[in-house]
Amino acid sequence: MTARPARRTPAAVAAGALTLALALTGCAAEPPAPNPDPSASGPVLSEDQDTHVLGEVNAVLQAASESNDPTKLEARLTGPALAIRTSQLEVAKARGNADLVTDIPGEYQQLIVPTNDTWPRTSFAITVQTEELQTPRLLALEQASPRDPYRLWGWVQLASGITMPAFADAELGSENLAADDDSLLVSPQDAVNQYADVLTTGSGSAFKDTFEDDAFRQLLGSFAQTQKETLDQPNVDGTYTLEVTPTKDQPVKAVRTADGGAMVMAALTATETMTAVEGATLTPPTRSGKALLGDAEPTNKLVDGYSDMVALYVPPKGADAKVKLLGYSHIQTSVSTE
Amino acid sequence: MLRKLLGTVLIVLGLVAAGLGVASATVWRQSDTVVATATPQGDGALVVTDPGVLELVDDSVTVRATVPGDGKVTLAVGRDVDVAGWVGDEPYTRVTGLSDWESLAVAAGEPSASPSPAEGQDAGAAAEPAKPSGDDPAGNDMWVAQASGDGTVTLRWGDQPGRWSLLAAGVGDGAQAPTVELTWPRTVTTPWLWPGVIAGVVLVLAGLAVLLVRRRRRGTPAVPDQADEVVPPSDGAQPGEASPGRAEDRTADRAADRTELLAAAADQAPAIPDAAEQRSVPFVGRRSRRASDPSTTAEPPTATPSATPSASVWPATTGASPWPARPGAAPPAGEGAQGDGTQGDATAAPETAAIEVPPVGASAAEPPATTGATPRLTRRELRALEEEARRGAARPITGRLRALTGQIPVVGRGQQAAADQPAAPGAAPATTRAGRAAAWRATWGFDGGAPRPATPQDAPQDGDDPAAGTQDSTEGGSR
Repeated sequence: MTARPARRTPAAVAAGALTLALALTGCAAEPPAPNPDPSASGPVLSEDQDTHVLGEVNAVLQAASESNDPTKLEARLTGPALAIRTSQLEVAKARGNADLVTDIPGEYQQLIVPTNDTWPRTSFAITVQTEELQTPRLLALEQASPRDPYRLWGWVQLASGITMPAFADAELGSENLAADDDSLLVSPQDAVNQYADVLTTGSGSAFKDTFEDDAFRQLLGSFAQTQKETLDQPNVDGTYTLEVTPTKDQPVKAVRTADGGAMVMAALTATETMTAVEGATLTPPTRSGKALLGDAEPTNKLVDGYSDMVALYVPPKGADAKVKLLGYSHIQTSVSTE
Repeated sequence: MLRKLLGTVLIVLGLVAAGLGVASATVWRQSDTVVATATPQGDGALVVTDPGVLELVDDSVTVRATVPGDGKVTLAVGRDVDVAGWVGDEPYTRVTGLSDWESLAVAAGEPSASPSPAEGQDAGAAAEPAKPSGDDPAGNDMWVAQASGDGTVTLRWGDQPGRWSLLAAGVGDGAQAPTVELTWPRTVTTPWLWPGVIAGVVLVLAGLAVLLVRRRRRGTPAVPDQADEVVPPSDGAQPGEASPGRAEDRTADRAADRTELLAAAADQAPAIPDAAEQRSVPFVGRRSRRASDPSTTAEPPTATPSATPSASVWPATTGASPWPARPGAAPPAGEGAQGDGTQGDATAAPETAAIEVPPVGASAAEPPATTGATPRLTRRELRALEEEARRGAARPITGRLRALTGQIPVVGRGQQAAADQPAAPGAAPATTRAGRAAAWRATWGFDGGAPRPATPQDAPQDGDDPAAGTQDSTEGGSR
């Protein structure tokens, strides 16, 4: 009577244990599958990252300026900015002081971060005013390829009294536009080409009505006027020409503004050619030019090369507005007597 | 024997269930971390995880990358497009997910579908797979988190909104792809602990209950199991006891027992014949069962039948079914010679038993005397009676009456007819209130109501005091 339960119990226990064990093992979860967030357009750099990049750039500028060693610039400068800064440092070395080296503050009032997934990418930043209360600088930083760092590509001084267009918040990012983007009143490349023509030909330009009048045109115009008056005297019999062209191999940089327009930044090359009668000597009109000329003997011919940067606001297509200059820089980087 | 076996098995199963439940939360408890490893495949010094892999198990992950020897290894986390852009055309190992809980699924990486325009200059060269460059991704502005080290490097990453990829790179000429190990914390739940323990406890209790019930039953001298199935016509089944003398002996003994329990019934007990005795059975129903032990020990053989009817009759009585009045369903009572004769008569059936009631006095208010017929009903018959009762209940009864009684007095069709017939000469028709009341009383058989409907002048008298009858019947029914 007692033997029977004893015989059956182990079997029952085994059955129960087996059932439970199966239930337990059956509930071991399958490994989850990746469930990433959906792709969404966003800034390629966070604000922290962008600030870090700008800090790096600023550190390189500082280090190069302190040691007057342009080779240090290559780590974080490229394109027109590298050329200009290198020239400025050489001028500073020749002149023995850094007065003519553009001051670029290390604090920023606005970051404009691209959203593009392709390269090159361009981010922008607007600095605060300088210690001398000069207008803020607009910086453009380029990442040419994924394995490159962001490098300072160019800068302009904002024109005084200008109203900057609004940009999307840095947490949303602003789209970089192609040079031939057709959503604008004028494509970025065309805007730069036409603006160069306006600078070259002045009021005779066919495109002058596309652009609002601005300080840079006035500056170049008045400078040319002065030079022409000086050279156009009977005993001098000189000539003065100015030609401004978009810098080769430096594609324009464009970024979408909040109103659907674009801010376009471009490098221009301005070349002044002055001649005078035989025997006359033409000295560079700028301190940079003098420093660049150095010990070379002035002749009756002078070719000043300027590396210019301009920032333009291009309204969206169909807008009843003109292209407007936001800022510029006009820095002599070469001089020649031939 | 079967019960003992069942109880033992239940207890053992309960212990096993509880043990397994506890074990699931202790020795079999899952590790607090998930550690998965990716072994690089093919050429290349790079390992890249798909977006979503880093946060597969938990938002925070610890990445460990190891390269053979002392080579430099760099870990970086960046947006998936940035990592893909950085990798470019280089061969790499792609981590697509978890293949199981301990290893990562890997695949040979496909070259970036859209090389950036800046790299597109050597589009011709892009056709042939690029060779591992050994470039160090460390320091790139795009990374959100990064770490470099020699041989082994560890990086912790907490998930953020967005699509993030991990880039692990062996750095330097001839670098090899690192082995990547991802470690996530895991919230370990023990879902089987309490279910197991509770089920175990329940099983053990059930087993104990089975064993204990069995033991107790063993203590009581065998209530025959058939009691559950059939309400035996006690005397019919045991013809030997049907002799009046023995029945009287038993009656006397049982009545004596009852005097201890029921002071009220004590006086009548010796005087009333079987019918009275049987009538009192339902009254003491529960007590009698409780009292069965002493009584049965006193007279083991006869106690059995008495206990049986009381147990089975009681529910029928409480059910307020009209069965006592059903002539066909009330077979002759073996022990009651008088009842035997009268109950055979359909019309007299309610009365015969009840006729003896009035002398009983106090106990007249007790449940119907006709319960004397009950022991002869099988369960099937009871069921049939209840069915009948239900049908009877379906008959229209005024809401007022229902409200008065608090329960539905069931007046079966046949019952009503039986009640009406004697009353037919003078009583109000059954359709009137008084008639229905009379039928109702007849059904319940209190206050000598059963015989009285036969005398016309009593019917109104009864009608005067419906509340008392109601109360009594309710009391009897609720007992």
